[in-house]
Amino acid sequence: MAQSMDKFKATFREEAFELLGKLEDQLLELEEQPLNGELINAAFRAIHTVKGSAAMFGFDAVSKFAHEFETALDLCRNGTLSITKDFIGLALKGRDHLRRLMEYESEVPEDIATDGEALLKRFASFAAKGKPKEAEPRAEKPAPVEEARQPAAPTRTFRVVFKPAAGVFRNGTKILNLVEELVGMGVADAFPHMKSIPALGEMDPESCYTWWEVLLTAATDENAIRDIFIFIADQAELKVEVVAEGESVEPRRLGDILVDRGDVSRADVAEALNSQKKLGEVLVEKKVISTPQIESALVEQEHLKKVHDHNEMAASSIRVASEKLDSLVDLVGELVTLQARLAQTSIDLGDSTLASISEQFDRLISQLRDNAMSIRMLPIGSTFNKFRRVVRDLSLELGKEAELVTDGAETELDKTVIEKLGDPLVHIIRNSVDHGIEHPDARIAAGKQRAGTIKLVARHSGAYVLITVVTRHRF
Amino acid sequence: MSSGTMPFVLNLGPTLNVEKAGSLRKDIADALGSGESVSVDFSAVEEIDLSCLQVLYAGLASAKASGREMHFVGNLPQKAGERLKACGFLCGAKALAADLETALGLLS
Repeated sequence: MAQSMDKFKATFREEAFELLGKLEDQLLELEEQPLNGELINAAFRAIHTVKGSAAMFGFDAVSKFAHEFETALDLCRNGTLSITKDFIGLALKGRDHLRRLMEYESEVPEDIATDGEALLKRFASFAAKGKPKEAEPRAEKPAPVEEARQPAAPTRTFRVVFKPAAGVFRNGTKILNLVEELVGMGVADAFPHMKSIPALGEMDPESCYTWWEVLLTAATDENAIRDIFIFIADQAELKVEVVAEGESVEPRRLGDILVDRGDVSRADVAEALNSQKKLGEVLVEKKVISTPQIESALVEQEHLKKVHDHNEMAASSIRVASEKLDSLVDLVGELVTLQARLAQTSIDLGDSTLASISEQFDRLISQLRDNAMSIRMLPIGSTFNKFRRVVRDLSLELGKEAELVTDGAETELDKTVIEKLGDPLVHIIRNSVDHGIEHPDARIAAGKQRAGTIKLVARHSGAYVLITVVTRHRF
Repeated sequence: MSSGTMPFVLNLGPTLNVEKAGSLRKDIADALGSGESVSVDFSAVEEIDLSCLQVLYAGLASAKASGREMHFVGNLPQKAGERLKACGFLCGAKALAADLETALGLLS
């Protein structure tokens, strides 16, 4: 039992490291696009997941720290706090601290705990800026254990019907942003209904005629969905229904979906199915249902199939410890050596039977080697984000302005090569910021833009991968 | 807005929001009224909201109803295109006029 718990904890750590890696990217992107609601939500969800899982596996220090981090991000999410460079700096430090804390379940070394306390105070101070004065300073309260231990919401598939009122544009509401935020909560398919738009000469251009049906599969609850539309709650009709519980979504027949939606009766479907034509065509021809209703139901059917297929695919992939892959590659290497000896021996003996077996063996070994090597191939982009952080932190430290532009992130390299490239590339990029980019004042005096650009490019060049770092100090 | 010889070219501005929806409707109505085919140029568009999308949709419907041709040229910025895609405008919804879909899908 203890052994299996250790396994779960190891998996939790791996997944949390992944989430924290993505969080770093999201924070760096947020620094560039502080108003990007999707990014804020993604960062919030990452921290929320880390918090919930940490509490579940007994990583109390992680859970407590993540709780305060989450509070600050929540204030950014609801627009109470602005995302500034200072906040991103603090959030990045918070993310680094969480990564350090992940090494310890309960007993955290004193120096790390002290760093954490200092960061918590800064988070609390940030959070306090965004709260009304009469509000209770939540950040100063210890994390409520019961709340922290609540697991994340289960995955469900929702059908959301969103009908904005005609006058919704007049208060400046950006309807597309709301739908985009909803869609950003998980795997989603949106269907806009535009058939109510009048003819050009008759329409009021400042009135809203469009409404949506959105199929959303996400680990969330109805309240979180309603929260998106909270500011226009009195100017929109919102219906949220659960159409499937859990991650194992089963594809459904169109007729069942239409009946479930209340669009048609079972008898209508049964009658239409007797025809040789497609169900939708028959129902539309008989005017039992409109074309948009059919199309919307088809979007739902397609969504359920997509989620089902995605889950099937996810279930067919597994995580393997990198040590096991290394061991596999080593064994394949030994087989290749042995095969070379076998081939030479068959030549020396002049035995045609042995030579034939050796050739077949050679082909199989070659395939095995290629497969084993391909398993270890990773896109180099997974390390690019680390360099963005290096450029950001060093620029701030040196009082410079520099931007890292990357290209060829999808270029694949062996995992061990990528690991070995990390340190030299960090060194080159640090030197580029240090020696290749001037201070903003000097750049402006020289007729250049304030910020310098460092370009990091990876691309295939014959059998090699060519990595180039260019400092565009002339521009 | 500028008029060419053939077809009538309607150059859209960078921000198409509710403040611009009224003038956009008038421009499209005038263009359709000219009797020529209409080419709507998205090249300068940076942002488009639902109010203007509705006007374009209505414009296409009017063009179709009166037997006129209305085409779209130019590219939407990636971010604006992705937003429209997320909102379902480019996911194959047959209820939308194919031309509008094509126009809004000018990301390539």
